[in-house]
Amino acid sequence: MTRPLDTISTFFTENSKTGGGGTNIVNVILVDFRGFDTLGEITVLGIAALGIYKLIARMRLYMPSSDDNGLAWSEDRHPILLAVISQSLLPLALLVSAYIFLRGHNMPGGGFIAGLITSVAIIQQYVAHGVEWIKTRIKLDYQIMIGSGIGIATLSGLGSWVFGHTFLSSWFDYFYLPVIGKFELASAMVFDLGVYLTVVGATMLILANLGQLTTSERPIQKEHD
Amino acid sequence: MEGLYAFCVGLLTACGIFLALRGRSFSVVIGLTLLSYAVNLFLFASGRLKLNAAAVLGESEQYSDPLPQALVLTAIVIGFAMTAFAVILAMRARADLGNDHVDGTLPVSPADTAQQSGGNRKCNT
Repeated sequence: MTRPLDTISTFFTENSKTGGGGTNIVNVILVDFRGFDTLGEITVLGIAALGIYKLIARMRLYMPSSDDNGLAWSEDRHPILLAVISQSLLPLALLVSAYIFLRGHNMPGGGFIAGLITSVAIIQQYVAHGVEWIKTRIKLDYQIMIGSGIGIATLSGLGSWVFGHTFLSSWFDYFYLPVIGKFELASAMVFDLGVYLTVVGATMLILANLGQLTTSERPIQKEHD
Repeated sequence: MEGLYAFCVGLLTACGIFLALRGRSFSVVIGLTLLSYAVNLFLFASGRLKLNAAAVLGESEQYSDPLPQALVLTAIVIGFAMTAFAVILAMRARADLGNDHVDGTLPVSPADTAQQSGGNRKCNT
């Protein structure tokens, strides 16, 4: 901390608004200046999620549902209070995640955080209602979600080739609408949407499959005692 | 602030290494998690610790270095993926091998036998 501060980040600070079109420098670095890093990162996340999905396949861990005296741990597996509250909070949580997603370019927020908020909201439903209840209601294929997320992010990068720019260069402009007023549209938002879909898909694929891992049937193979 | 920060990173690293060298896969996973936290915090600190200097234009008079923050954000997500994978790997090993030792089998030296079976029985109930 005693050495003089010599950093290359003044470039990012100066060009964030003029070159990337956003005031949140960290987010502009992630989706614009160093977008290739982020593309690789969501690919890693997707691969890890798919690897976990394959590792979990047909694996069952024994979880006792009662103690030594035969008493059940819990009479009510899905308490109605938790179920009702988490169900009514779901739209609110999705609204917050949409808000966080949209403000990401200029204020703290962005695809990652919005994706995690959405995942937490959906995981809350799994906790409150159980896997079987969710399966009949939310018909999302998380593997397709991961694939489409990475696909959208890559396509948004390839799109800049059409206009004669390098891979993943971003475009932004300001528009006016009568009621809303001045707002900004950026191609980085499409990239962020890809990040969002991948994060939601990967987190849900991991956690939802992890949640249905346990079984109350005793394993046939005896433990090494 | 720097001293306290450095102490915390050092403590996290020490705990992480200690846990990663344990014999049970659960503590190894926790140790890896703590190590990745320590590395993330260390990388984050390479952009200097500043107060009231958010890297958002127009929010404050001076800005902290945005580059380490962006790099750490990437590292956090990769660390998350790695942790999840390590957890599932440990659980898969537990399900297939029937024990959670990193070697795949429980040590069977005579001195350990009494202690091991006692500890095991407690885990299983």
